[in-house]
Amino acid sequence: MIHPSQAERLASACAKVVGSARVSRATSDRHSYARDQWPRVLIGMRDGKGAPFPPDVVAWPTTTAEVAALVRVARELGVPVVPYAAGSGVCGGAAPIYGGLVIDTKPMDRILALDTRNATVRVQAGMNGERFERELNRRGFTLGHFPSSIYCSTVGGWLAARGAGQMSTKYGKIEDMTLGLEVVTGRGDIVRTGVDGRAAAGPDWTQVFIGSEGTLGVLTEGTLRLRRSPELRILRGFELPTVDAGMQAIRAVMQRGLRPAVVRLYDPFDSFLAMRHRAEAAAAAGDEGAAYVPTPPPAKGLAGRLARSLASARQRVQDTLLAGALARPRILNPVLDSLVPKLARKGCLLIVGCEGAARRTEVEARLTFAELERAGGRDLGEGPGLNWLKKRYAVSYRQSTLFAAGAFADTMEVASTWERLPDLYESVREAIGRHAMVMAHFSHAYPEGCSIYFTFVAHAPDRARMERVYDAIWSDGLSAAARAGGTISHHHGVGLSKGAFMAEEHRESMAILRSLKSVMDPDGVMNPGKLGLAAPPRLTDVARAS
Amino acid sequence: MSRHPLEPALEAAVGADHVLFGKRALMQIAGKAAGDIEPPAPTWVVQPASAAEVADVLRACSRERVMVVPWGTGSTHALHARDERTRVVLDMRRMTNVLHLDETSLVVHAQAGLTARTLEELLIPRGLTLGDFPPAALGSTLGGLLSARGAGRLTPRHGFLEDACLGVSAVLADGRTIHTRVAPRRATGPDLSRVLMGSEGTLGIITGVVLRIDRRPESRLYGAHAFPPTLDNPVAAAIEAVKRALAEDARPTAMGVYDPAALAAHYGAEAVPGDLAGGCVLVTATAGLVDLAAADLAIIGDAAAAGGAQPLGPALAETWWTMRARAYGMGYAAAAPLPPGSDARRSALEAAKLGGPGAAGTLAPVDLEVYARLDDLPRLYATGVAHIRAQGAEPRAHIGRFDSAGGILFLAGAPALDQAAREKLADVLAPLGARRARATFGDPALAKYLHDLKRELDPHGILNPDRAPPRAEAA
Repeated sequence: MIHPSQAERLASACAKVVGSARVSRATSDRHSYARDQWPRVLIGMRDGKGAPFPPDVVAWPTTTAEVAALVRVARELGVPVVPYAAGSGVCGGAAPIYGGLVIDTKPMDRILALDTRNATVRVQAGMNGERFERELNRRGFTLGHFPSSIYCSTVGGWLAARGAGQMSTKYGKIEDMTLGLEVVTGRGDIVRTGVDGRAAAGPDWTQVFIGSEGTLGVLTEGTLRLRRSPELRILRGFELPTVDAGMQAIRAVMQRGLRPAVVRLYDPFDSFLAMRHRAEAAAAAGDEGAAYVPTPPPAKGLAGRLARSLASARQRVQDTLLAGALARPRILNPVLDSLVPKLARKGCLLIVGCEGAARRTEVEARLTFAELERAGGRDLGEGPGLNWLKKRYAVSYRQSTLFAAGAFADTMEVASTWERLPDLYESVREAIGRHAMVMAHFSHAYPEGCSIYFTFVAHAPDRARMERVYDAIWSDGLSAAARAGGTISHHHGVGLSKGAFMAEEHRESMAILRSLKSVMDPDGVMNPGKLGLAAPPRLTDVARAS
Repeated sequence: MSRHPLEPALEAAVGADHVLFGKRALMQIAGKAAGDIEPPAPTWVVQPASAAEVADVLRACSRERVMVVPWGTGSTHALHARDERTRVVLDMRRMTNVLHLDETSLVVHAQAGLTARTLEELLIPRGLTLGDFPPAALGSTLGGLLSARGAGRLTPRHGFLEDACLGVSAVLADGRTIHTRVAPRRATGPDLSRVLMGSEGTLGIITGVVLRIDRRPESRLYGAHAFPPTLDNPVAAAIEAVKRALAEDARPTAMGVYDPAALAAHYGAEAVPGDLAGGCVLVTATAGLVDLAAADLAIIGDAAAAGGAQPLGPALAETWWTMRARAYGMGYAAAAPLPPGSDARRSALEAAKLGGPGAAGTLAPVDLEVYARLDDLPRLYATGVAHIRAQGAEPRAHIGRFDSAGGILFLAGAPALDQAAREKLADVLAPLGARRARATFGDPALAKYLHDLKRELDPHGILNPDRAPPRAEAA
């Protein structure tokens, strides 16, 4: 929070830039921008108090020139600037922890130019993901970027956090499809990257600004490479005997030069939930694909109840036995390890899909499936794949019932080269498993490595203890990832939750990041306290102060 | 004459045997490129063997405010030893160790002084390869390749060379050593290795690189298509076919569009199909799993046919692919894949190095190469060829190094254009969208940021000041 008189000056200066109708100091607006979807903050909000980090002023610019003027205003007054759009980040990256000015880019939501001949698009940062994809589809194109947040995230957010979509194995992450950016730097200048394409000398500024999470400037526009809408999409489920066999199978596919759009390998517990959930969904929908879905016997006991409450989220986690079990993950995880294979009588589920122009896709799918069978995979037909496709954005919206029931869930996405991947999986799983129930799937595959997506659920009797458990999970999990030679984030970004681990992630290279920061934002006004560039305040102190 | 205070420190860093002085030293590493003059200021050539030695050298130079110029094979810039600044030329070519070869992940960590070609020679017997990058690029050191961005170092099959780089090790001006850590992808802030890549040694000296590699493809297939002069604009039709094939997801190893004069000059008069005067040829090589390579070839063939081209069969493209590799001493890379470690592979490797059927050939010289967007290439081709002809030379041109955004136009005249004529040609083409490699630093508004970043990382301005962005852009 800045001083009220300072906030007053900030608001009136902003009003001169964007007009008074597009500036607000109203409590309701300030509280709407006081957090993102970082689960740690959600835990804290469950007791009915407001979000902990309200900004002092919110502004809704409509042009890049207005954004630049707003940044200059904030710079002159020395107040923090936090770029904000849909607020779907899960690391606290958009939380205005020092108050100041929130610049909401959502009003900048237009496609500026769609070059159908060269399959490129210039789009403003505030464009909503789902609407963007729908517009592109209407013109016969796709971006190929399908994060599970697509309904509530923006192009600018994807770029700021180096996001990935579920089909990144074919289309790449957002940084792979970006040809250039328009950025308002922390000095208030408007700069363009990607000018002169690959003929330019000097650093690749596009790759410098992507992932900068608002700490170097405000991303206002992106020029992105498109693909034609796929003529053909072929999906399949395979069953692999073990996680290790699954990893080897994916590696074989990728290193043969095949590029399926989707590859997802679920570890045994995640497979159990996924298969069960899909079986239920298919049965409910009368889907003929259900014939292919392995249907485990009705789950009994603890694991089954866990499965139901996690996967379908129909049942609140109110059962004291269950809550008690979640509070004892050291006992729970080994029990699940031994129970799940017996319950499911299956190995690991692998969803794979190829899509694109018809001719190449047919060949690629045939070769990919053959490679998976060679690696020991059992073909489950297209049912599991189709069910995944149908439900692919749903999972994130199912966590709120867990929160409402007094537990919490979160995800940790790490990555490494194949050589280190088994160790990364075991180490992080063990580290999180000390505190929470944990499962994982492998997605976003590359010839040289893969990402692992851990989901964990835990419970504690009160807020303070829950926050301690939460922090311990992240501390132990990320330390384990770093020790195993992995990266601490594949596509969620750093924000607040991983800031303290940036030094371990980049070590001496932090010198370059710090230099970039002092050059792009010499006054330190851009999204301060994030990306590990400065120590953020003790969160509990900030929360109490608000 | 008393010794310069720097010299003992340099000798302590790398050993006296690896500190050379003056004109002879420059001539020794750079030949004629060094110019046959005694440098006006003290100049050393220092040959470190490790990142730690580079760090010691930089610390000493930083202390004495002596400028440091990294040197690899000298493929991208000359040694300007004509000004008054005391300098150390950092000859990286002793740093040739492979530090780690991870055959599980297909990742190699090598010192920056190793040339890409030497690395490829180490990989081939293991059934591995850097990828089908243009052989012309592979004679440079890995550090040089990644320090200076090259618009044409790509293949649709493997992408850009920079994209294959998963991390770098570097030494900053004050001797701090950094290693960007390796992950397939990450979301932990800006890509810090991309700050050093492309900065041509002005922000730090790259001492090691981590590269993604690939397995040798199990097949190579070739195709060629003639776009006859009866078409409205044969070159435009060929470029359109390239664009269409890439949009259909084809991932060939390489594609090239040649006019008849370029075909004859590079591959002999017998390579030119009859009746092609005024037309052009699209040559293609694909690789990988047989069915996938065949699909790629068919997609490109259909795209060419849709543009009015006639199929020519694989022979011309095979000649093009093979000679192109042999011209740069990489005949073995072009050869049909063989089981790793086999006698046949070894002898192919030997033949490529020592002479015989796979030995180095030569290609015709190129006078100017420019990068442009695909849509601009047909007009640039027509304008360039007409301009060369108007200067009284017989023009020849080919276009290659395509991705979905652009390609490189290679122009030459017979007789060859002199330096002034090349500059004139570049000036004529620039307004039509032609860009020479590294001729600009992108948006001029970013120049001051690059200057300030340099000041942050290299406060005394010792690192390769010749390649810092020009003041005019910074103003």
